[in-house]
Amino acid sequence: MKLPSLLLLLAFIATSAAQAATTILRGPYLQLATPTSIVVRWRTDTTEPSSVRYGLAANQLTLTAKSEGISTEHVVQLAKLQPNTRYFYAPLTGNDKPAKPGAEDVPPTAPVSSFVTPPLPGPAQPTRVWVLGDPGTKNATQAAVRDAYYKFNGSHTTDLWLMLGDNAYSEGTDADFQKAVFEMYPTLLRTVPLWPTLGNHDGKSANSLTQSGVYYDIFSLPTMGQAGGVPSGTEAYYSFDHANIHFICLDSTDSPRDADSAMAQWLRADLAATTRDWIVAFFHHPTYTKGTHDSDKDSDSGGRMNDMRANFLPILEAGGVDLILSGHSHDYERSHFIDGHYGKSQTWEPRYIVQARDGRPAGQGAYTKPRARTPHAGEISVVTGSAGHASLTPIPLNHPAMWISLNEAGSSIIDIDGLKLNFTFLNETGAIRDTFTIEKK
Amino acid sequence: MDRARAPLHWFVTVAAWLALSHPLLAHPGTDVAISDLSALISTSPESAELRLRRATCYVEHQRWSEAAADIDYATQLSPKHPDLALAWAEYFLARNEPLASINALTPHLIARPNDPAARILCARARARCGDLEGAQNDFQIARRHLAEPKPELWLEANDLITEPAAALADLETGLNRLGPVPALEERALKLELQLGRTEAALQRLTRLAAHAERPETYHRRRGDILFQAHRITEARRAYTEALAAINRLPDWLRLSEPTQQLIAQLTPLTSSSL
Repeated sequence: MKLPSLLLLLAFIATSAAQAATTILRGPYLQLATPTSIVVRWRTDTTEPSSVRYGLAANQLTLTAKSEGISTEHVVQLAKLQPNTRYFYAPLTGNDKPAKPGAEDVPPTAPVSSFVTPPLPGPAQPTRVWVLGDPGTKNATQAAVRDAYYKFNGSHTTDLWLMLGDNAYSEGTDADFQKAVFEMYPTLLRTVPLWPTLGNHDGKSANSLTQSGVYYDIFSLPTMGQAGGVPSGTEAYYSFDHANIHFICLDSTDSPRDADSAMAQWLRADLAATTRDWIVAFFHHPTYTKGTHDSDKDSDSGGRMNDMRANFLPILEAGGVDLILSGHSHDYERSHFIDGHYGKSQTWEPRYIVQARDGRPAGQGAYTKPRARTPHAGEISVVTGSAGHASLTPIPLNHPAMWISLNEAGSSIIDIDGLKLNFTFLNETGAIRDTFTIEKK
Repeated sequence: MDRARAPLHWFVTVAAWLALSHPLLAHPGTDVAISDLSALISTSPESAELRLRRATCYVEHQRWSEAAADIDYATQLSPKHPDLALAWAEYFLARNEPLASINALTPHLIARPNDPAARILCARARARCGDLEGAQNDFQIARRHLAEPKPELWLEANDLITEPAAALADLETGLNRLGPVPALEERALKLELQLGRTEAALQRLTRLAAHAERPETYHRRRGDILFQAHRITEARRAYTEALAAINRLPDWLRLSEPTQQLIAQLTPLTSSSL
């Protein structure tokens, strides 16, 4: 065989081998979305360069973003994006090596996905947030909760989603995350940015002090205020903006929780700095619960619920928080519109209720707050920790701070449009089991 | 194993695993974790990992003999397990025996000198012994080998530095690496003022104000520092800047109660009678 023919044959074999070799095992999934950038991550079975093609139309992926080196864990940031704009993208795998040197325009073999960049922070824009607490059971209930939301949502856009911890049972291992997250929500993961917090089960395979372990390996979270908010210096707790909403993620599992801790100091600074209309905080361990956990018991969960209620709730309420989301108890518990209750349930008094109504416009009326940031103007605390399972045994569900408590599997939806926040709890059958509205004037 | 007992053994094993991996049951406090782990160990008695995990729980409960027994047994099961030294080190540290903790870690650190978790434990033990220099050295190695050292770790190490100027330099390194993290900035400011470095403190606040969406409180703090330094004209200017920043806020924020209170406090401070 002549040399040119031999080279051609070798090239053909190499190309075929590459095509046969690369499989995307995980993702792609979206992280750390800002109005002008987003992180695309995926895992392949073979080590290869990390590149993403993207563009403004599915058939025009004219731009390429890369990261250094070769890996099976691919983390590529797409930068210089336009806010509030739909982009199409596909990871460039070994299967997509150009047929000719320099030919960069061959269609990718990985499916083309799309996402919308967040709007610029500040101006209001209708926003839908899906909230999942303790979802990671990998079982039929988790799938039913997911499908109920997909049906409820229909063709409506989900702008972002939150996971409130215990995202992958029972040890938070990489295999647990693969089944409970990546194989459970593949479509949403590649189209909508996910913002998680650490739960106690995730914490079994992670260490917040060294920021190592599976949870920290899997997620790319802001440490420098890249997505808005004050730099926290850690992925364990962080904040971000979306339109006129400021989201705050705290680590109730594995970071120091005393009133003068670095996390508390950061929270005070972050709350003082934000100029967004709405403040939504989320963390794993609830401030009030009488479900599968009891926030009155000092021994329950190592006192974490006490710490969050006694040390962090006063900071949040003084900073004008509107909504506090948590999980850990595998049920749904929604508080009255309250302020100032930092003790155990025995110390509860009706005076902590700021507005005694159901919060439903068609019922006793929505809760109202001044738009001007006012400390201690009232907040709703929601335990929504049943996205993977409800309790199989009877649970008390009698915390006096709660307006409604349900032992049902389900997830929560937040719709914010300007100065109105609508909240919905949807159970696994697709039934709406609770709603409330907060209006700002 | 006795053939007749095998089905029963497997039933118990599977049932225990199912129960303990069930999310409803695999939860709360350390006491529950101990009973969960004990059940697991009864079905997997050869697992060194499970013994070490239970030992950690026993240490939390100060059940020393049971903790030691678990670590001993894990040592027999897996003499080269990388977490053995860390388990002993945690055990001794919790018993307030820091020297024993250091001794437990020494061979591990010879083999793995850059293991951040071991270095952090060693630093804590050395600090307990009063060896602050050694502790700082261990913390520095740990921080160097962590991709993203947490602010809490930086502060813990910084606590050991007794010389304010050195502590300040260490914080500066942290701020360069982690960004303007509030807890580090606040401590640095405190040290600047403690050292009488008014200009440096003011510059720090100016930098913070420049990047803040709401800079008024930083300007106000600048004013307070200048006032205490009897630099009244500059103080008045800083308070005026704070008011100007407030005036740039949208109405709904400017008219909020706390902001109105701040305006009421600042306004007299800007007058020439100050």
